[in-house]
Amino acid sequence: MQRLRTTPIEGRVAVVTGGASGLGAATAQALRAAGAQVALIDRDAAAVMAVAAVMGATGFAADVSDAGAIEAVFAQIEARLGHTALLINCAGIADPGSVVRRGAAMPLAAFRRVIEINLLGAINCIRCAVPQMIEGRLGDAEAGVIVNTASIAAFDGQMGQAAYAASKGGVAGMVLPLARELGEHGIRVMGIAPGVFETPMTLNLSPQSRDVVFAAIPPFPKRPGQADEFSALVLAIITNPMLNGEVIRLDGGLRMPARV
Amino acid sequence: MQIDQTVTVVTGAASGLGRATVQRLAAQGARVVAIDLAGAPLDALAQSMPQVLALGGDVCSDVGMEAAFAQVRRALGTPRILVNCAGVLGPARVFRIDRATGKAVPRELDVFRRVIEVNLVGTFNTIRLFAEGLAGDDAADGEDRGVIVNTASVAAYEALSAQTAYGASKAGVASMTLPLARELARFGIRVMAIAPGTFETGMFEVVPMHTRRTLIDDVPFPPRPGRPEEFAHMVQALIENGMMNGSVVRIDGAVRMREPTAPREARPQP
Repeated sequence: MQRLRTTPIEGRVAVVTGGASGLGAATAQALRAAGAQVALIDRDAAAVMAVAAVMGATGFAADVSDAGAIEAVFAQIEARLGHTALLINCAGIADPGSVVRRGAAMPLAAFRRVIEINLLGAINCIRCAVPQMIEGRLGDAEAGVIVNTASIAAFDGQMGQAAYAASKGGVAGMVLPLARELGEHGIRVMGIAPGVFETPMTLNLSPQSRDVVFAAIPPFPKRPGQADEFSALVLAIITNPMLNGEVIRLDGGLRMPARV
Repeated sequence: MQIDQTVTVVTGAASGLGRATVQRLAAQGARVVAIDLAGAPLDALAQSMPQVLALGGDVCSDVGMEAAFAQVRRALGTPRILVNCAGVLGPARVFRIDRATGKAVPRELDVFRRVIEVNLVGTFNTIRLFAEGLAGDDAADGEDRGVIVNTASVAAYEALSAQTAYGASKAGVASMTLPLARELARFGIRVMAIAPGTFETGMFEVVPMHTRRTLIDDVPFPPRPGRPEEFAHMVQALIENGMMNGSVVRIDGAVRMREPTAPREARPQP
């Protein structure tokens, strides 16, 4: 039990992207309740400031795929809160679309946008957080933990999810090389692949897409996941020092069919 | 899918896996279009294989590839085979040590973006245009109308240090295989990916020597890097076998990549 206490959350600086809603907001809330100093990053300025104020966190409005903006946000986090020790990447968009629709190819920009936010956005925040984790490391202690949000679409993507599945597959695929690279600096890297969760991302899909997503019922429990079940896993990952380099499915046993 | 006389687009065609694929499919009678960045390697391919239509272009450019596919349709007809081999390794650690201060600083985002662009966005770019060309078809008789073979990598599953972008890009390619196969089924297009292990290509030659030695020593059998012709052999098998769809095939001599155990001073410094 002694070893388990070497990864405290209390007092550590935790950065949560996509922190204004859904999985990100629930995770920020859980980290705040566990005593972390929480910084929220979200592109929705009004929402991130309001959510941050309610939970006693610090809000930053920025697009995660913007290199300069995120560098500036992390500089401010270091100045105002201290070195980042925990990074939870939750920012993401779904944007389903057909490769060919009414005989015309999907514009490349539509595919690129999903890759930019879901995949490059995560890389962007990781590259900015890691130097702070290294700088803040005390001796041989764990320097930090990075948790990325993949998706079960990385493994069984549905029709219309080429871009989303590609982006989340990328997130899943970079967990191991990052863990290998950052191990010598005391940083663990994990991924979570949620199944169908009730969040603004899924609830705000077009009625047609939403029906398809929520028609997929897990073996058990026979309902969509809730955001606090995601944040519970994030805390379990942070507090268990042996978890590293792996993507955990959180889906009630669901495997997505081609379509419903 | 029959290869003889079928219009076939190969990207990354001027070297390595792409070039071997061009040679094999052309030898099987395919009418091959070879796409690569304009330059000496593509010129050399065009000179040695006059039966191949060589087109210079960047797979990341939407308008560039739209023009290339339009030219292919005019010159040869609708392509029914697409093999995406264009790719870059672009190794980079997520941070570097600033020389002036000795402190860790973030690596530039564009270093990662370029790898994702070429390997992942570039692969999707040709796929969308290839599928568009076959969108008028239907697969009512149950036979395939088109085949797409993408190049993933074993790095999709076990990438090494400094391969964050490469591993992510190839995992992205692997992950979009199934949703693409599911979606393009209505046009009769099959979608497959190949995940090569260690292969003798120009890309592998830039890997540091000690890492290369570990990767080769770790191959259980055959105890050597793969040959590009063996990749091309797999491509042909996937094109010809009509039941292969929606999955990723490893071709790696059973290797599972591990971090090299070189002495510390031999490791690439951040």
